[in-house]
Amino acid sequence: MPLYMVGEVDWLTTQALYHALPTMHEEGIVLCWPRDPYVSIGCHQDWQEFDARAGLPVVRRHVGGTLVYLDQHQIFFQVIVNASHHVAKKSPQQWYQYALAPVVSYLQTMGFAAMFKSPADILINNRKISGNAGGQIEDSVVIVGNILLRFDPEMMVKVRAGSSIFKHSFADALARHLTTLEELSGREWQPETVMRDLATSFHRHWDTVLREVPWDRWNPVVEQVGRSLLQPRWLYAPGMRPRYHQIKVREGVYLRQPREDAWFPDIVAEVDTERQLCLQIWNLPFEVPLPLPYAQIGDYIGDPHLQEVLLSLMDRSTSSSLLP
Amino acid sequence: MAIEPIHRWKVVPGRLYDRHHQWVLQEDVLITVGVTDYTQDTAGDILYAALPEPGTVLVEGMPFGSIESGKWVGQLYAPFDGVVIVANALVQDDPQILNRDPYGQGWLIKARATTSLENFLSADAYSAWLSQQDVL
Repeated sequence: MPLYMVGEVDWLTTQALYHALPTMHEEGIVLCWPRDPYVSIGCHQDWQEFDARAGLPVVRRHVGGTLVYLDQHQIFFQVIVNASHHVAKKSPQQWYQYALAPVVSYLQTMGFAAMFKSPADILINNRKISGNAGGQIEDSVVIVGNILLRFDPEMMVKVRAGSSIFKHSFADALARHLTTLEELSGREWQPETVMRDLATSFHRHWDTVLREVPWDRWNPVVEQVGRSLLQPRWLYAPGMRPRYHQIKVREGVYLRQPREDAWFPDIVAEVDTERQLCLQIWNLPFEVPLPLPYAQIGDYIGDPHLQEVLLSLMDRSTSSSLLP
Repeated sequence: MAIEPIHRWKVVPGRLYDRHHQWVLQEDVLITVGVTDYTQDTAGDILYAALPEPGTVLVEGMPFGSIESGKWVGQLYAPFDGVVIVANALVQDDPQILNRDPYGQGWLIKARATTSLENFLSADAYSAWLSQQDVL
């Protein structure tokens, strides 16, 4: 498997590369980071979830997941493999485990208790340090992700559309659920060093071969694919529209707010769908003990409409609608 | 004597199958296309399905739509050349119907084909192929 230490490139190239290799029917592992900040939105995400007032360039990718703010303080790893060489891998989870094992191993080598969190996160001390997404492009399976060296939650909040209370809640949740190499170690991390060590880990796991980046051959395709990712019909497409506003903070933890035409549209809840807990609630007119198990909502919330709104945000609706 | 399949996925008789784990069912001039139990099971909870507009031209082997589950985008491949007549609005409104009923209410599109269906697998052949894949 060839490995390319691409390093720093312009923002669009960081996305175009992993879309271009499948087009060229090439396998490879690409390690890179963007020269400038930008936003990447998920293949099926609704364009309305991006806050264009942030003034950042934006691209829509062909793999899953939701909107992410990306910049030069994150290392990207992009795994592009021919699916027919791996017929035993059937589920997304198997692909994620395979592709992320060298990344988890790298973080462990650096002394961190990193662990894979299904379906697609890497956590350290129960906080997310790496978000990932994947899918099929042409004949290839592609898994892409990042390692946070440093992260600016304010920028992430700025690029995500939503009410001011939703953005405030998001900032608060990010602070509690995300971590970075810098925060964990108390020192600065150089992207070049992280890339080199990550390359060593991929080599150890998959016996990768370090190759010079064949820019002359790749460039025409990378440029063409990059332009296609910015086509208005693709970029501005509508997409998934859950019945509430939602942001995934990390695997299993979501921030949710009822839509504007619902009862109590100002309520924002942070829910842990795996442990079935409400972790935080903003704009509740009274206090409740937190974290609050789903099963105890009825014990503390008397108003049936408010009770239904909260249960709906926890996917436990007793009726079919959040509408008044 | 029929050979018992060694895989765990449901395969419905009377339909034809392709190697992208999709089924087709011909009813007069219309052909219904859907995904198999294998697809829904290995994908996990399906959160979104992007299906084509009526009139979309299908090119055999090329993607005509996609489904998303767990941050993963899987492609739907045209099983034949043809034209989409209708996409299933129910699947777009409630994608998890693909998990619950992939051979029934969770059909994807109805289309007219301009190529033959002779290269598809029968239910028995698909089931045998699944068994082979499962032991690899």
